[in-house]
Amino acid sequence: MKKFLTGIGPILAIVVLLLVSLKLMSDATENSTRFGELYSVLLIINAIGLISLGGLVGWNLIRLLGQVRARRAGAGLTVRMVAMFVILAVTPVLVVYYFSLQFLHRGIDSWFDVRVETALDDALELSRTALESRMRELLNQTELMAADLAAKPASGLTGPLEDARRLSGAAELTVIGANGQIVASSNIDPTAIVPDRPSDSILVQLRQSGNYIGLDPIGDAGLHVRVVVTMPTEVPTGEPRILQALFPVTARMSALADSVQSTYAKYQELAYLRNPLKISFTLTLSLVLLLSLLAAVWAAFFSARRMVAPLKDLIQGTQAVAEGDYETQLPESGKNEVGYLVESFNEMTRRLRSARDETRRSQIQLEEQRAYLEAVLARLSTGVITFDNNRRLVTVNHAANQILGIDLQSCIGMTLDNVGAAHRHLLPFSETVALHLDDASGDENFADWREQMTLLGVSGRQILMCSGAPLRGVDGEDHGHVMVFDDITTLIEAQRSAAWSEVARRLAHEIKNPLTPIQLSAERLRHKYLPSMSGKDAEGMDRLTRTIVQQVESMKEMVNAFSDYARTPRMEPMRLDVNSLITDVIELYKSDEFRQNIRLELGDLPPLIADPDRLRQILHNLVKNAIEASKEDKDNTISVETQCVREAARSFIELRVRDSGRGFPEEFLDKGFEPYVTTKAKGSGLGLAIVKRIVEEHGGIVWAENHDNGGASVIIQLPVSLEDTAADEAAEVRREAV
Amino acid sequence: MHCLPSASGRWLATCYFVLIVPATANAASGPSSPGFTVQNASVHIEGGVYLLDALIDFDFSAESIEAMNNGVSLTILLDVEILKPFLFWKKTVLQQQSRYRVGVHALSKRYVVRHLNSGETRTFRTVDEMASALGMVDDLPLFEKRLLNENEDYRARVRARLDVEALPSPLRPLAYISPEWRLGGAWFEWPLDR
Repeated sequence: MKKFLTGIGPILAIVVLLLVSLKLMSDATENSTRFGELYSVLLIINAIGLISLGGLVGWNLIRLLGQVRARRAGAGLTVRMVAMFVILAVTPVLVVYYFSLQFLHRGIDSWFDVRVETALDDALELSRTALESRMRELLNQTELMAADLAAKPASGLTGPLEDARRLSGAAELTVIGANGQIVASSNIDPTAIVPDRPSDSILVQLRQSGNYIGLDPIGDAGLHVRVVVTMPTEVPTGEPRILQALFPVTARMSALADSVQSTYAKYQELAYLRNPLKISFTLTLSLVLLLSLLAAVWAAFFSARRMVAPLKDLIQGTQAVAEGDYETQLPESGKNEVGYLVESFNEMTRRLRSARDETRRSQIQLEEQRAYLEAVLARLSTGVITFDNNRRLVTVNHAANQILGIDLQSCIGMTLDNVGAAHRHLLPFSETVALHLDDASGDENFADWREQMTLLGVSGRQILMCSGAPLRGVDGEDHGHVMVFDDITTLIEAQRSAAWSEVARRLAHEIKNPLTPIQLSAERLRHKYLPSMSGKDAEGMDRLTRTIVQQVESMKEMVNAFSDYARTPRMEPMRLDVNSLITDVIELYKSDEFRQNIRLELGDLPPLIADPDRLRQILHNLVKNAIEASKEDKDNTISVETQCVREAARSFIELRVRDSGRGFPEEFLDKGFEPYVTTKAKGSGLGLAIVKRIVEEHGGIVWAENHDNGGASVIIQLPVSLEDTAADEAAEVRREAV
Repeated sequence: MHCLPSASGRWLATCYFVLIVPATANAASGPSSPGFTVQNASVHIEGGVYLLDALIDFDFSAESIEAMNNGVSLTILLDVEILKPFLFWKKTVLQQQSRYRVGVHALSKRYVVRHLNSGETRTFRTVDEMASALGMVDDLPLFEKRLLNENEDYRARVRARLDVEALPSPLRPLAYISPEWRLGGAWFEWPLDR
């Protein structure tokens, strides 16, 4: 249906209809008889054409309005083109219509002329006059015949009647009785059985005037003169009879009279039909006009649609391309300007599609390379992080997550500062990296950086070896920064431990061996020569040998301490309660003079997986140091505090041993945990080094702090497994529930 | 075929209608507007042929008379149909149409009626005379008796109307829309009595 309404079929049908209609109109104008025959057909055809066209135009109009309302592509252009076509088509047609009507009316009026009308009237009157003289003669003749026949009896009328008809030249003579019955009749045609009868009006006139004469067209026989007279009666009371005579008009006169009559009748009819004829022609012309107009309007719709269709396709295609659909190919629309435009559009979409496919392939390759790189990075034990120019995390590999102990993938997009703020234990890391990023930004010659940093991470103290470099593209533009880092805690500790162990072992070996001969030699000198000496010599010998022996003993103790440090017994970790361990150790100092001044502030702690002997050694070292440091202070107070510190991704036990001494020297705060660093005159300098070593063996961190109001603290943080903590808490809840 | 009545037939018809017409209710009142109205109608069999007798009131409108006086010929149709009732509808079994052309002969100033079926022509001095003669249908042959089944019931109906299609074409649009030219009458129907 839509194809029918919008295709070329309807316009062809309408053109044919119009041609037929115009042909009929032309024929009708030339031949009025044919016009009469085809008039109804013409009307019906035109009505059908009008209704069809009206429907088509209406449908197109509604469709166009719907498209305009829906703001469909090309609707506005179609409206403008239709309006333009309609104006161009309708204006000349209306002008032609107006002048055609004028010419038509004037043409019809010109058919009629007063002089012709008068001449026809005169001709008719002349014919009547010519016939009337003849009719008067025939009346006289008929009256004479009536007088002759009146004397004849009814039964003997046939013969005389026949003779009278023959002599008078009448076509028919009929005698009619008073009762209306035919008495006798004679006809020129012997086969005619029933004579023609006068009508009632004739009889009425006959009774009034005694005779009747008139022209009468008798069927196919032509024009006749009818004469009816009353036959005279011999007896006054007798009923009168009637004689009717029909005289044929002579052939020549009859032909002329018929010609005048028919011409007059035709002219009279034509004159009567003048106005209906005008109306009829106007109606027909109006129908043709309407057909032409509607066909023009429809053609306007059709043409506009055909012309706008490729533009509409172009608009829709452009919209599709704008929305990312590059598959759009418009149908060809001929070798014209629009066709070239469509061809160019198709070429454009082909190239766009090709470019998009190429981009997609490149993207896939890029993705593959990225996946490959990620796979490689994921397998790396080195942490890799990349930042953009705004210091936002772009890439993080699995090792980075493991080393830093947090899910850095969830931090992608965050700035370095935000990461540090969200994960406090990474603050030193983020600050250090930020410093290097500051150095790198804006410096085209900046190559790379390298730094070792220490963190107290989830798994304890960590030493990271970090290095970084700006990410520069082939154009030299800065695209961000990449940094790689390794957890070298184990390596450093192993190296350090091995180095110190070697030093201790060599010291022990090199020093301890000659000590015993020195001590023995000094004791032997004492035993051998002291008894033989006296006075000041004996006193000097005694003091010197004692000093040697004492110093050798001190050196032995020191060498033994070195041996202890160098010896790294196997760790035997177990689950233990740190507070309980502290209480036990402090109990050992009950007899000590400081016992009263040791204050315990023990918080709730989760169980710790650690070697109890080593922890006990830590506590002894720290408590002894604190007691010694506090001896000089009048408050003479130390405190041991514990608490459990929980952060986002980690949990650890913090042990703080505080004294009321003078505090550590400033330089001691940095190097106080190195071997041979001591503030005591007789200290070996290994106490805090051993503490640090044990703490590090347990994944913890230790540092010293001075207090503003005097005194110092040594703080140890030992990491606690979150799983263990959670399991313990759950177990505790269960126990409480039971 | 002869449709115009003879003098004796006219008398008989007059008597017939004087007696019969008051008995037929639908013919008692004539239409006020111009038109052709069948006042009464009947058929009888003569010589194995159904013959129609009818009284029709031909009331010509002023426009139609003016057209005739101006040389326009009018065609009058007399439709006769035989119907066979079937439950709620009627099937047309037989139909016949008689056509008359009426006009004015200018030279003789007479109204001419020509029965187009038979070719018979009659002339009249006045319209009334012509209408009166035209309205008395006597012994108009319709069809042979054998065409109808004697054992079945039939109904007959008759009407007279002006053939608009036979008018000159310029007059037709006017005739289609003007009531003055709508001279067709209603059917007059009656059971066919045999």
